Amino acid sequence: MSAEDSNEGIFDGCFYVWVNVTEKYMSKDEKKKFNDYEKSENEKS
Amino acid sequence: MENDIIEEMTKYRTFDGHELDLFHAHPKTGSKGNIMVVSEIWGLTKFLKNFSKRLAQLGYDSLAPDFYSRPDDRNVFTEENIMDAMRPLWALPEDKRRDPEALKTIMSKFSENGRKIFNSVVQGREERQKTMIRDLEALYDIYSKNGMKMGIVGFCMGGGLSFQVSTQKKFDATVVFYGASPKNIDDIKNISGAVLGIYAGEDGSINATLDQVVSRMVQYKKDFEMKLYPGTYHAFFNDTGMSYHREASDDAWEKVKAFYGRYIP
Repeated sequence: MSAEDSNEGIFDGCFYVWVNVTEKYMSKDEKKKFNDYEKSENEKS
Repeated sequence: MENDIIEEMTKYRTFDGHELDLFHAHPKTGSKGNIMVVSEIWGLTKFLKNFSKRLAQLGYDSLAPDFYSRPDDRNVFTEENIMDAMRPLWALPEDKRRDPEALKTIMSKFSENGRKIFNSVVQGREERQKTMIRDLEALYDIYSKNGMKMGIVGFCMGGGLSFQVSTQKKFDATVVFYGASPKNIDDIKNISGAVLGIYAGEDGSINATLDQVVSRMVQYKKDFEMKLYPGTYHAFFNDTGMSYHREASDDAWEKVKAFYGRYIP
């Protein structure tokens, strides 16, 4: 796929990337924000 | 090291006359150059401020604009509201998330501000992207006047914006963290300085055009280096986020330090 073939822009493209990222990590913690997590919490998991 | 820098919230006047908030961290004395720091979609977060301070500790003036500090955006584009705009989409299969018919079924699940943000993503995306690029150009125009070397670094959305702006303004050194490639890939020929691209191995849509980036960098004989970290996910460098990967992040930081040390010594 070329960049030009994609209808996606930077803003909406990143929004949808983050939908996937937050879904992957946050769907069981719906009230948390992605950036709530500190290093220590990461390292526990 | 913290004592060796000054951090302050200030403002700059952008292209449309608005004053945008600007996080400015810099050494107490002397500066090697200016580095613009461009945010993820989440805006001017603690992560971005901390990263800016790390650059300041290396001797740079780091300049992180808040794209969401116009009056109409300030209380809408918060981290919490952006998350509210993403959450309802989880109910749809990935291939239906841009389908207008499918989207109708979840519209009632958005909060008021979440809906405003989502509408901005769907209907206002081109205008918002143009605005952010012009905000960065305006910041460049102000700070490049002092004759100092100019760098830029961005993450995700900010990585894409940094990559694009580096085709439009003369930066000495550009760092792209898992950002979109320029829409017109041949814009790469206009880049004047060095580029370091840092990518996660598991980041399908961002990585889909990397082959073209490499091809154009070779074709146009650009000063380009790239590192892809297998087994890491989008935003692995963000140490406040859940996809943080310590080893990759530490290694990427060493690469960023060396890169700026070489081109903005």
